[in-house]
Amino acid sequence: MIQFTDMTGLASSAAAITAAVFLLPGITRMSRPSLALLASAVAVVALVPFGGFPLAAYVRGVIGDLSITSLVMLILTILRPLFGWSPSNTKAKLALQALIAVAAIGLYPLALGLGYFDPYRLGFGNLWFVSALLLVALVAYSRRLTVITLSIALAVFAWGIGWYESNNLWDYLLDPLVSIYAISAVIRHSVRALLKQRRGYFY
Amino acid sequence: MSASLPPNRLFVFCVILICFGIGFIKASGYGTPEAFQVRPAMASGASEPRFQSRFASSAQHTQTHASSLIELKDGRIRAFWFAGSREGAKDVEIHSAIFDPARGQWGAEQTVASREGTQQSVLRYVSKLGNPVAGRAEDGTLWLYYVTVSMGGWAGSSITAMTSTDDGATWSPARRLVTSPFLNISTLVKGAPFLYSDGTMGLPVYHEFIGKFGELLRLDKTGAVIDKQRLSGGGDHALQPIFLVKNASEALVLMRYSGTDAPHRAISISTKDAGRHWTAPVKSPLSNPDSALSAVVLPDGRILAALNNMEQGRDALTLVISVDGGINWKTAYPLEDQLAARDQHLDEARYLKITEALAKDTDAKAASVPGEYVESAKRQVCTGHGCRFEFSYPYLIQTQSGDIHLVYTWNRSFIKHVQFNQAWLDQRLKDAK
Repeated sequence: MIQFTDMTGLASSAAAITAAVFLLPGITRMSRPSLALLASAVAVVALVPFGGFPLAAYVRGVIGDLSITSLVMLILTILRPLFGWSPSNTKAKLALQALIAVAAIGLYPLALGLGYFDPYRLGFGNLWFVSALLLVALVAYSRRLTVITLSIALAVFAWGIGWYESNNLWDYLLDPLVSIYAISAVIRHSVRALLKQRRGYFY
Repeated sequence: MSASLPPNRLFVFCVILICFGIGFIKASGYGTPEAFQVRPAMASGASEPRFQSRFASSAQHTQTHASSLIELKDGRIRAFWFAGSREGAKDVEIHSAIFDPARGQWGAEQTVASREGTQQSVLRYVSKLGNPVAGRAEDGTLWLYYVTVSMGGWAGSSITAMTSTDDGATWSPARRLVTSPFLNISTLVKGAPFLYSDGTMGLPVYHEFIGKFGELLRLDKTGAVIDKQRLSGGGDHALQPIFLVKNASEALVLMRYSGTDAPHRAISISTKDAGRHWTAPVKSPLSNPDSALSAVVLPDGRILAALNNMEQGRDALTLVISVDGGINWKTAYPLEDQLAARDQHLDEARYLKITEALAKDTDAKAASVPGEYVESAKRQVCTGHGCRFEFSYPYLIQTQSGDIHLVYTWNRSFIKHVQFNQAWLDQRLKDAK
């Protein structure tokens, strides 16, 4: 019988596949009903077994279960064109990208063997780590960076109830895909800001 | 003036409280074990020296590797290893067989896990299987941990677990352990699991993506990973840790050395507080040619190890013993020794002749059909450039009867089983003086 954590894991891979379709150029020019139909069709195709194995399971084999932060961002990507939401709070989005980038740069090199300290260990129920996340969530709340507050709080909640196979809180906060996305977004933003500043000097 | 929050702000605040409330409840459930569980005293075994050898695997013309052992509740012994057309091939399966000490015979070889079966269970694509090790939980459940890869080579490995409540006759569906934040890659098993005083299990593992280092997982009674400790740094080139629990608070860990800096020695670390703190990794006196080793703590405190005790090659396998907790070691018995053949740049004809003699010497069954054993070995270890012997990946256990059992890879084609008692070991040590 399929386990709960396999259902959630496969659903996260299906969400990634569906969101990838929404990144195709010109997709937002489609009408909302067409977009809804396309999203549903892609999600179903991702989960239907072909040759005994669904496409989502192949994707899951490679990328693993997507973090809650990724899911929040993917769901926003999928739902925004469907519901015609206006672009999200740019300041909050950039702050979330910067936070993810800093966390990823701090976590991955150390977890992959740089030195003796492994920050991934903190994700196995370290009370100081959970407290630090609460502090970050409260600071984000006070600054009205709601997307950060909700990403962190929902990640802690999902970890607390055992939403995925992983028992480590880091896996609910971060994954390599969202990290690569955030690091590139921060770099892109920084380069643009720098170019803008330079243009300011010239004119 | 009231300072009430707007409804959406109040909602977000409530979300924070609920989510973190659940998070703190979960975090407060994690504890740190006070001590290691020490194995109950074993029988000293027969007083007559006894040494026997045989092949545990029986399939011909396959590549076999990475065997491990566990004693069953009825005193029989179950071995696991991986077998297929070649290491890393899609047809590699986890095989198992049972040894009955009363009859001195191995039973039929069975498949306990396949690539296809594993991927259906873990609902993920799996490209290949690797090292299996078994552990016994406090409630008697048998746990089998084995390496699975979804992408890339062994550096892309993760660990999959299955359980059995009937000592391996039937198995639960496989579950994937999540042990690494980067696509869950690069955690492999080789060393024997052990228990902590609180009933949680310690599983020695290692990482080999970019850096190579030893790690220790702690698993709760449901098999969930609840802690992970780094035993060496990425630059130490230490992997495949084996845990030697000396008493409730002390343990020695030996690790394979995969670095290039001479001298090539097994890496060791130790603890005196049940693993809360570890000494820095140092090179031990044991030579190591980037090859797995295995050891057990005997009831009298001596440590017996099996390893390729040399800096290059895997053509000799030796039993060594330490009477001072792993500081000094001396050779107890050379189990396999083909160093002379290495120096002679062995051609195929000579290799086949020596291998036939070795097969006959190992097992009575092989003596009746030595050609099949020799052909199987030739397929695995002979290339256009000649042949080489390989005796590697030892795995030692001591059973409740006091007997010591060792399995290892024999020329990549069979799993060889060696059984002896302490009287035989003591006799060898006396002879060596």
